[in-house]
Amino acid sequence: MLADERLPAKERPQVGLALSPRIAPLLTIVAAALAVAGFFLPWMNGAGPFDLRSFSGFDFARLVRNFEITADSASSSAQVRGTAVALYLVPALALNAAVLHAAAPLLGLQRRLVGWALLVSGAYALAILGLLLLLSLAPLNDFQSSVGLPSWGFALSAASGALLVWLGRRELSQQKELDRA
Amino acid sequence: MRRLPLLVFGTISIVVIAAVVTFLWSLGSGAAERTPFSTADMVPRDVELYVAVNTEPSSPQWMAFADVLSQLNVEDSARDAWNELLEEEDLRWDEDIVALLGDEGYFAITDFSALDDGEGAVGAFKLRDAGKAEETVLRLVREALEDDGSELLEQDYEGETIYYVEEDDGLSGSEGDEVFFDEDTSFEGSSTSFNGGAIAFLDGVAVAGLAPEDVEGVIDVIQGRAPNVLANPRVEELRAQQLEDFLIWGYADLAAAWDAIDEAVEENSEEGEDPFEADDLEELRANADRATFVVSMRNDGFVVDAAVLRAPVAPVEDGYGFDEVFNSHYAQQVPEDTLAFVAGRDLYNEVYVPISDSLSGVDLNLADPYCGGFGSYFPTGEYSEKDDPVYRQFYDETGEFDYEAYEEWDGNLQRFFTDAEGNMDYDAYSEYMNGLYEGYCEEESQTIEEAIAEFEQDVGFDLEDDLLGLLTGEFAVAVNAGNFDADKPDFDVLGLLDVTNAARVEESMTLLGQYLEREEGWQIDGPDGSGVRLVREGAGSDDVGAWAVTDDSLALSYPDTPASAFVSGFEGDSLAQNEDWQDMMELLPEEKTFVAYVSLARLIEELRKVEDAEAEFADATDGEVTFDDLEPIRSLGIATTNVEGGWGMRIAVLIND
Repeated sequence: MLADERLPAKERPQVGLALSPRIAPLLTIVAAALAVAGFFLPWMNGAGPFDLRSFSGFDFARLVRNFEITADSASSSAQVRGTAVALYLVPALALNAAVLHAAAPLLGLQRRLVGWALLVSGAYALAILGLLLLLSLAPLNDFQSSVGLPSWGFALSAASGALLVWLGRRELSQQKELDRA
Repeated sequence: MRRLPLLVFGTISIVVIAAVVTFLWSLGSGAAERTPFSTADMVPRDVELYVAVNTEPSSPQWMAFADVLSQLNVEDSARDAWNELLEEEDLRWDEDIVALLGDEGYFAITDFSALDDGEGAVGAFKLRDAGKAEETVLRLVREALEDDGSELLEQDYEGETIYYVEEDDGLSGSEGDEVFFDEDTSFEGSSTSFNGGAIAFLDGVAVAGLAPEDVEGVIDVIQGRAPNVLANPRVEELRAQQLEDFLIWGYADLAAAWDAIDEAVEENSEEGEDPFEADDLEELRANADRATFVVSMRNDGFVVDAAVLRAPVAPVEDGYGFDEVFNSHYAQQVPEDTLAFVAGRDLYNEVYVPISDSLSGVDLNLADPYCGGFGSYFPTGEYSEKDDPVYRQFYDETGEFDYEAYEEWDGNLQRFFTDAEGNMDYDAYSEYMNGLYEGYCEEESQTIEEAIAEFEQDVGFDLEDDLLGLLTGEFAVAVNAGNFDADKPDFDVLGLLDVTNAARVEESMTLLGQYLEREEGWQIDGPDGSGVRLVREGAGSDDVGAWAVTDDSLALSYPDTPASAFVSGFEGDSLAQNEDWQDMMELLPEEKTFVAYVSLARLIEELRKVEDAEAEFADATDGEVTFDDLEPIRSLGIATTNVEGGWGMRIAVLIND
């Protein structure tokens, strides 16, 4: 049970959109599901030699891992693997946030911790997607000419990221209100 | 107490995140961009040649290839060149060709003997957008046909449309006309047509062939009415061994090639003549039954693997290629900057004996332009009309041809073969002339075996027992060159051979030296304090070679310095310590039976020193590629190895920035 759920309903702090204590974890699960689904849906439409292909987040990670064949040292190999892991972290952090939020009442986790988990997972997803958006729009390297522009899976992942950030902020604000109360 | 929730939070987070990342990682490993041999189920079972081509640009193989092009700074120029070429057809390389292809395609020859009739070759490529491919290909074909007045024809086969072209052979004429080639040969009828190619677009696959029948064969395979190559155990056995991805994988059924050669030889040889003995062909059949080749990329290079396999029931025979695994110890005894290096083992048993067995009975006159059947295929050196066994009688000492004497001789001869009515018997004349040559050639005939026996007698040793038979360890040749701009560029070559009996080899080499002094006028000096003997091709010659026998090795070199340096032990790093050599040895098979290495980096370095080389190279490539761009190209290596049931070879180019 989260700390503020022990208060009578009328005394519970209200931040932004009012959500019942059962709805918020459900929303987190929905956001995590969207993050996972979005990760396997097209993030980018291909361009150039990949004109008739599209790339999901999962495809991107695989594409990055394919570069390992070109790595000529342990450090460049680690760099390639690290980049792939960075992409896999997008759904991993979202799922982790959902698990923590759902299990918080059972484990007595503080709302602050859950809030941070949600906020970090959403912000991380948005940061990764923002970086990809930048690479696809700015002619910095071959990325733009081969990967093209964002597709609907990208928007879905961005929406899930934003939802996680909002839920996280909400949890943190409620914790703050609770602390004040 | 406040720490407990944090601990729970951290533990759950680590477990969940690690589990999800691990799951995705393994999912990503298993779900590759392409499955090698994904077109195998479209290949007719009985192929004689099958070449699978990876066409997935996002596969690691093509990404590595693109990386190499990028390292060499030729990726953009290559793409531009393609685009320029395709621009005329309103096509773009990336968008209209590469993007259209699926993950694999193949070419196959189903019947080598049918190729002459314009049949027997097919190919199929997976497509990402069959509609766009069909539209593009048919547009291009129709445009091309417009120019030569041909027409694109269509036929339906099992619900699929096959587009094909029948081309005219150019012999126009109305039905019944006769076209004469010469007095004896005429061609009755009008022009005939032959296959100009056929193509069909199935669901996600383009199938092309030389003839509509070829395409029909592949449609039957795709639609399940005919077996595919997966049901061919000869191919399947080798295909299953290719576990890693590739750019190109090829299979050739050499049994079919031997049949074709056998047939061609039989057709082209005269009655009773047997230029290719049946035993030889059977031996070749047994030792080279099937072949595979693979072109693939590694993280630091480009690799071509080839393997030739014996027939399944053929006994393992020694003496076909190098088969003794070794690690070169001579690589540790030649300088680090060696330009080229070759090494193997057992020169006597692996090289001399098989060659000697095959060639000992060969007449040395074989390469004679007047006596040998293959004279025209060999470099004739100083041969001239003066060497003609019949006409040489008309040349005087200064090389002048005496026409008067010749005309008199020929006139007499012609008169002899001319009857009272003045008709000359050309056949008899020709037979007589041939007889003159045959008589001479028989007189001069000498087999290689006989020539070696004569040579052994002259030298005073047994070539095999006293010299070659003692060279059964490693042998190596190291070459260095440089200063190409000079009047006389630097060049040296060092041959090294393990010896099993140094004293006997020393004695044989001394006898050989004495023979060369006696017969060829060479000058052999020494040995000096290190045991090195200097060899000059004539007294006082500036060109000095050397040989020396140490406890374990016979060293021969030109000029004398490499042999001297080898005997006294050179200073500095050896080739084996060179990083490029080490990287190349890792790229080549671990169990080498022969190895060749060329330092391309050194070669390029030497070429750069040549005056104006940089500018000329830039000019030749329109400034697109410079010597700087070639810096990542480090070396070329070739190694042979034993593979299960046969013999393998790898050619590798080390590219490393």
